Amino acid sequence: MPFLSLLMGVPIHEAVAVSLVAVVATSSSSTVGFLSRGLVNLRLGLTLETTMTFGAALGGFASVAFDQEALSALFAVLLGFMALSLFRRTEGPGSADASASGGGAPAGRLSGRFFDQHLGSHVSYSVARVPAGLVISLVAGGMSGLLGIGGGVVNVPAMTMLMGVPMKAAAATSSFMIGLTAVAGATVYYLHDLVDPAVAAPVALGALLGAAGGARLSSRLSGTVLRRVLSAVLILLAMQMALAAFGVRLR
Amino acid sequence: MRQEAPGGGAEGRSVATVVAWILRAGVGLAGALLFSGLALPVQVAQEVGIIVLLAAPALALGAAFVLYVTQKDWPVAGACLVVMLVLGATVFAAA
Repeated sequence: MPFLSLLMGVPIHEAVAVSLVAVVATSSSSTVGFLSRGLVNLRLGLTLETTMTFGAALGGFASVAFDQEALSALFAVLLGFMALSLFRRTEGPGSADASASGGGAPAGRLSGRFFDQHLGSHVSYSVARVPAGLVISLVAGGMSGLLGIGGGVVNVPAMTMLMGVPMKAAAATSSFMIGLTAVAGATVYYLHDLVDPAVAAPVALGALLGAAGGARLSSRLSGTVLRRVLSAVLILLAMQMALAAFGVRLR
Repeated sequence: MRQEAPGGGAEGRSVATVVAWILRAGVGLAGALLFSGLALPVQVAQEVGIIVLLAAPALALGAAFVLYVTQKDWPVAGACLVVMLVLGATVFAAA
């Protein structure tokens, strides 16, 4: 969205709309791969989605009433948060409840088990603090609808650090969730004629192809390197958005 | 290699398989339409491609709801229903 808004001059409401379409494309394309590898915890995802979708719908309606400067400022703050979150994230399962084993899945209806190709073994985990996770998903959904982002930047750290879900399962489950969440916001924008097919089509096509390729690449590259590069890019974009919030456009 | 949800086992895998197939079909069809809309001067292809793209996750959600109901997994089926109702209410309110 920042590229569309800052570099291509697309009005920010249309940029948010196109961004949400791209989020749906990215989610659908990557979720296919994650599902085939058994990484998506559908039960957990659908449970958290109850509040996340609600938040996205509220955010979608609220965004129409916001002005460009306010949205830019909000987006700058979020980008800064994303950059810090990505930079500080640690490697590994990230949970004391997660364990690599060859045994069955732990008790609990939302718990899960998947085969970790990097570890070469099955990882079983249980899910804690579901009510808190539901509240955070509501906030993540609101951000998604308001700003045209996926909400995963909030959900993945929450699932990992708060609920005890291993990073790979959290990222895959979040990928599934953000597609559903973005559909709500994107539909609102689409019905308000804010999705320009001439802009959305190439972006969505690129997102479909990029997500498919990215899902394959992600297992080969170092997660630490990827996170740090992305953090640097996000900080630059946050600075550009902060300038835009004060009426300074870098085109 | 697949997610093994407690109490679900093969049933959980079947839901994941169906959801994956619906998303795969949606991504494939939408991708073909969006590409043809870029290659040919047919804007309607882009419009339909975007609609297909937005419909695929919703269809997958509906299929998951039906499968969880047939498996009598009421908590997750209820969650699917709530999400569908919120999505439907959003579309209705926006229209």
